[in-house]
Amino acid sequence: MLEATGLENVAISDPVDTFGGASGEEKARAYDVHGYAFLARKPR
Amino acid sequence: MTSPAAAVIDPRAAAARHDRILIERLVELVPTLIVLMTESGRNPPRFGYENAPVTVFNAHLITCRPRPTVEGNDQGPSRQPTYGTSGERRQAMQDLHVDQDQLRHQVRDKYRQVAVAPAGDYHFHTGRRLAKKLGYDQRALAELPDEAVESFAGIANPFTLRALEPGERVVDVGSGGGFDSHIAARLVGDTGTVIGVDMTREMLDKSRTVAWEMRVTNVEFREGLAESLPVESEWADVVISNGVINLCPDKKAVFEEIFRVLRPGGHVQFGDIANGRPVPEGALQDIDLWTG
Repeated sequence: MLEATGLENVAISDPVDTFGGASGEEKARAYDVHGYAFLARKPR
Repeated sequence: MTSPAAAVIDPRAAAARHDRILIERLVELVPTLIVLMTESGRNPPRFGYENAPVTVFNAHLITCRPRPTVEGNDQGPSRQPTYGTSGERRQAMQDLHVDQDQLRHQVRDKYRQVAVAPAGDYHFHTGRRLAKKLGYDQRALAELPDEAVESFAGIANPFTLRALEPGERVVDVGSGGGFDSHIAARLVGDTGTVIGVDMTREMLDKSRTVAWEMRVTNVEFREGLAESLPVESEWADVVISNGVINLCPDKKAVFEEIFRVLRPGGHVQFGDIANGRPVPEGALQDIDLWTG
């Protein structure tokens, strides 16, 4: 979606276990949900 | 970053000043908005979920905001989202899985709780524990007062893939209690500026009060929606966000707004969630799952 918007050089971090140890962990595990950092640039 | 003058500013007066500035800027943007809506109708932007590297899921909290007219928060003329009038745009809106207004209402309620009761029982971590888990700089974290950190409910660290540079102008989409905005304000320094945008009054009150108490003068918090940011086009060097976009049903509109406010060559860097397994259609239509 980022590239479809016109952004370029998209980068994604390694996954982060954001919900580990929280009460929402079970739901997160069920759908393999993790946190990620995203980076993209608007063309010059 | 600090100024003796800031010490005599009343938070409520500061909030009123922000609102007046917002109205003035919105009025200035009306001609631009008309052009944007016209152009989007002629040349519908090409968006497609099929191109997403990963599927952004909606399991965590929100930060896209309701229209300012909801619940008496009418701050004057408001920008409508820059939806075009094309058949493609109308179809895109019909394809949304949940009612946008209802979702915004639930998200606002959830984040109101996080603002006023940050130590409450939530399905996600909050505050310093979460910030440490996500790898924020420990020294920067230690320098912030509890009030600036306790309502933090982000997903990842938006500063890991690229460091902010001194002097940059930053927009924080869904700034919440202001944690990421304050981190950004320290990174860009006195020559930089940070504009936090959020839709929850309690979060705005909190972030503005903390800024006032910290005597921070290079950060400003505005009321607005992720789909219609109260920021002029191509103003920002960087757009940051954390745990917000996944809560917005119309992600195309959000990314379109981010693209609009970025200058050419500017960066968007945000933290959010993604699911590795497909989510059943029924779950996508269950609004309770969007807000946890």
